[in-house]
Amino acid sequence: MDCRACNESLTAFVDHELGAPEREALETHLTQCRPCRQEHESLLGSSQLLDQLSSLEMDPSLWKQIHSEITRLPTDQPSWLSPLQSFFGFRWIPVAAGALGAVILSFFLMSDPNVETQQEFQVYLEEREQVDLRRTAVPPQEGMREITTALPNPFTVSFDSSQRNPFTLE
Amino acid sequence: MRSRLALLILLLAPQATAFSQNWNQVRSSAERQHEMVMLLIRNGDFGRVLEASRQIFSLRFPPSQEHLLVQEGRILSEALTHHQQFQLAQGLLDQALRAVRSNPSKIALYKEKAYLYTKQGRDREAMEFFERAMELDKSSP
Repeated sequence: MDCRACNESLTAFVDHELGAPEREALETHLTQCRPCRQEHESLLGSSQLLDQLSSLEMDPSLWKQIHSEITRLPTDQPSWLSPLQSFFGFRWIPVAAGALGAVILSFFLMSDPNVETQQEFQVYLEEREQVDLRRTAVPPQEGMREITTALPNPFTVSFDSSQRNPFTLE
Repeated sequence: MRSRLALLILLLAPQATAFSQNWNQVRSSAERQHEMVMLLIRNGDFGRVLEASRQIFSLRFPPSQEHLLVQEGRILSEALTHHQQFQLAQGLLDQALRAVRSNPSKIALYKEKAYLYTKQGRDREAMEFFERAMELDKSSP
């Protein structure tokens, strides 16, 4: 075994992970190579130091203390929304949003002139639909061609009884 | 010289006649022409309607009788609408609008145009003319 192969297998050797043939070959090399033997001793010392370390156990009450600190922080700070929150509980958010929406909608409805004009137009259309221009229907007389339509002639002077023919029999 | 004088008289005669028309003559002409227009509409001779109606709206109506022109516009417009002649009806109302001078008459005719556009399903134009009527109404003393 050469030094390069020895260095590559040295960690596995310390951890007792090498097979018997490789272990014997490495042990033979270590007895013959001083630098590799020093490396082995250094690695072995580090491994022994790590084995002496004990694992740290966290105190179970520590997380409880942290959690209580976190939850206590917001309640300690007073807010301008606190009266609302105490009155409505958590329902104040949709209540406030609804009230705000109603205010905005009423503002637009009251200030938009188009809405007012449209309402007036609808009223006018309803009134106009009820206007009957066919007020003076003239029934066709027998033997005469009907030349007067059902629609009135606005320029026709209404019949004046004072100008009736004096020779007409009653 | 005489021929020039005759020509001048010929040119000025209609103007002088128009000025000398009294109300009864105007009314009688309008009445007769109205029947003519209605006959054209009833016979479906729509191509001659505007030409015939123009003779009504070009008559010199006294301001006190201007409402009759508005009424005539509405009646003829109604008759044309009955025959689905919406464009002609709008053109006729335009003739009436050019003939009237008072704001109440113009307001009534603008509203009539708006009503007619509504009948055509042209709501945007209808609203424009109604708004014009409302603006004129607000600006009127």
